Amino acid sequence: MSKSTFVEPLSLSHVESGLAGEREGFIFKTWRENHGVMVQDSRMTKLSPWLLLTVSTAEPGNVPEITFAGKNTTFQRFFPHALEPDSPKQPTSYLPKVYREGVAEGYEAAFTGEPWLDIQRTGNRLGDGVPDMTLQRLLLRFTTKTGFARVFCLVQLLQVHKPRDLSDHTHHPLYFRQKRDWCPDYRAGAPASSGHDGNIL
Amino acid sequence: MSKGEFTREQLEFLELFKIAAKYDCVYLLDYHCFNLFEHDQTSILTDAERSMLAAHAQRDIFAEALQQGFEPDQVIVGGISEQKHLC
Repeated sequence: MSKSTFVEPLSLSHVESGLAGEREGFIFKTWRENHGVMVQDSRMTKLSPWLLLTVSTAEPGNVPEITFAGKNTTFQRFFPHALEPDSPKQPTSYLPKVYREGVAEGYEAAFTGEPWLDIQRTGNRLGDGVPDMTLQRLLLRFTTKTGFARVFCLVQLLQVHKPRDLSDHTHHPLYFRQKRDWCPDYRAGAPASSGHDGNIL
Repeated sequence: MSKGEFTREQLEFLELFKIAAKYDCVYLLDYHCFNLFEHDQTSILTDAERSMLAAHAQRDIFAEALQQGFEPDQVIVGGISEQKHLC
């Protein structure tokens, strides 16, 4: 991961306290009360436009196959054709490999039944046309009464970062041109801010 | 109502619903219905809407059913065999 991207695990107390958001609080409470068992619940159905569902296994260092993405998910927003019935590729393959590798760890925890909350900075890892974003992600494994499991992923878009050369005055074309005189590679391609390593899914 | 009285779309949808019910994943059908039509009342959908719902939900429901032992052996939606669609 480059410096501009990171994945930081967060304490689940943020969900329990309501800090992580109302939807997160609701699904976590449902998950805990039902002991992770999926039941037909109209409130969960109403939450589905914000949910992304995956199978509950994946290759090490990869993300599981996406089976459902609600219309309000970040994934659906930036990869609207991935889950079309006639899509020629598996939905997950629309995500760049480098991104999948960066966010795989949370799924490994979720596969074991552990709830997982993190915050991500995507940088340029999602490819051309997808902005640099800060996302919060909650992963919960639900099983049906017959024992089949799905991972429920609830992603909240916290911020869309403007490209550096627009948001940072030191990279405004005017300043940039002046600095190139003495340092041609002056922070070329540098991240918008310092961060950590690691990162819509 | 005999089988001959159902439309093709209705039969396709009923087959999918049957698989979802058998493999305990009717909730997936609800999710897909809600996403497409902003309600989960599949009984009030038109044939065209049911057909659209089946097309969207099929892969999802089959993925679940296949892992639980479902063995597709017939054509269900849009004339595409399940095996071809999934592999």
